[in-house]
Amino acid sequence: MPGYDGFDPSVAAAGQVSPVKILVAGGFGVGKTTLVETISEIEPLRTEERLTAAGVGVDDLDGIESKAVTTVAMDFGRLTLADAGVVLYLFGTPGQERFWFMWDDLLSGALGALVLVDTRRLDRSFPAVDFFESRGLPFVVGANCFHGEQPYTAEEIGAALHLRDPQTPVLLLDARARTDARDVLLALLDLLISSADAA
Amino acid sequence: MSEPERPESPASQSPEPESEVSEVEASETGPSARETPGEPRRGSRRRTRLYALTDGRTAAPHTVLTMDTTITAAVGAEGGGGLPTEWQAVLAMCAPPGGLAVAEIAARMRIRLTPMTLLLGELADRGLIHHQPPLQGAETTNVHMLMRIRDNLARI
Ligand SMILES: Nc1nc2c(ncn2[C@@H]2O[C@H](COP(=O)(O)OP(=O)(O)OP(=O)(O)O)[C@@H](O)[C@H]2O)c(=O)[nH]1
Ligand SMILES: [Mg+2]
Repeated sequence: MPGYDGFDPSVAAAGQVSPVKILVAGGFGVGKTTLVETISEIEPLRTEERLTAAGVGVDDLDGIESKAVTTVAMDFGRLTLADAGVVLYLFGTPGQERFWFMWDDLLSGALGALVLVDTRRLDRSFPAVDFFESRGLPFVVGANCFHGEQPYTAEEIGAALHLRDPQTPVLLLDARARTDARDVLLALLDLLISSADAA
Repeated sequence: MSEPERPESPASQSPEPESEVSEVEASETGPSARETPGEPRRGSRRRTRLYALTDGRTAAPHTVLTMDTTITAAVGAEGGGGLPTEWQAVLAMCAPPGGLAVAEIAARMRIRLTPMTLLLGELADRGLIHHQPPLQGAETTNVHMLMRIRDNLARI
């Protein structure tokens, strides 16, 4: 194993903010990229990674292509919260979930996740819900209102998702609205605070 | 710290093992080699310059970075005078006090995550950058920290 010395005290001494990682997941076309763009203080960025079917981040240094390898793209955004001394890093997960489900680096170190759903195609977000539940990563659900209104209530959506923890917050939102995007992040923080309190 | 995890026979442990990196290095000496048809399409000349920095070393960098690590330059871009201009660009991008996430540097440099991470690891090994991982373990369940984040978020 290469040594991992992790924390670099010289950085903290310089008064630098701490990174905090949050994932934005959900099925195809549910608004992940839109949400990251809405909340981010920088223009949207995409980071690419090559994954094998086994999910390992294998990047060639020699350019050899292989059929077992696919390139996935993640959205990246950030939001500096100077008073809290942190910068939120938002990672919009790539659509091909069969790859990122095995990608441990994506999950590791994450504070929590936002799972977006489109109630017209709720099943597309089942895998993300299953994944975070099985890995024990706290998450909140954001139901995008694509036509300006949502025919279902938050309770109905939560029930249809068969959430393991019925207390999991479900919010109705428009991923293009900054206040909505902020509110879903606030709901995640509230969830984290209440579980930290309970511990 | 002997080498129990290395399965190779002693005979295979030559000081300069065959590797992708040393092949790339070799092509640096012959400009025509870079232009060979069938080279990977992603700017082979640029690749060569980037990977030349690793000195043909094949061992993974000592410093392990992840996509969510924040990188801050430890030297100014001018301090990296002998480095390829791409690396001076990285150092300029990550100027203190701010710094940038590995994922953001990769996106801006248009390099995929794994090679970017390895190459930044190499820069860290050389003391050219500082690195800070995201909040971990106990910090992520620290109620005071979480409440500070929440309160700040509520004001944006
Ligand atoms: N009306 C409405 N449209 C939205 C909302 N969120 C996203 N959209 C639109 O829906 C489309 C898909 O949104 P994206 O943000 O690209 O979705 P995505 O989850 O990143 O999609 P993939 O990366 O392809 O899986 C875009 O045209 C958005 O403009 C929303 O809350 N309301
Ligand atoms: Mg997208």
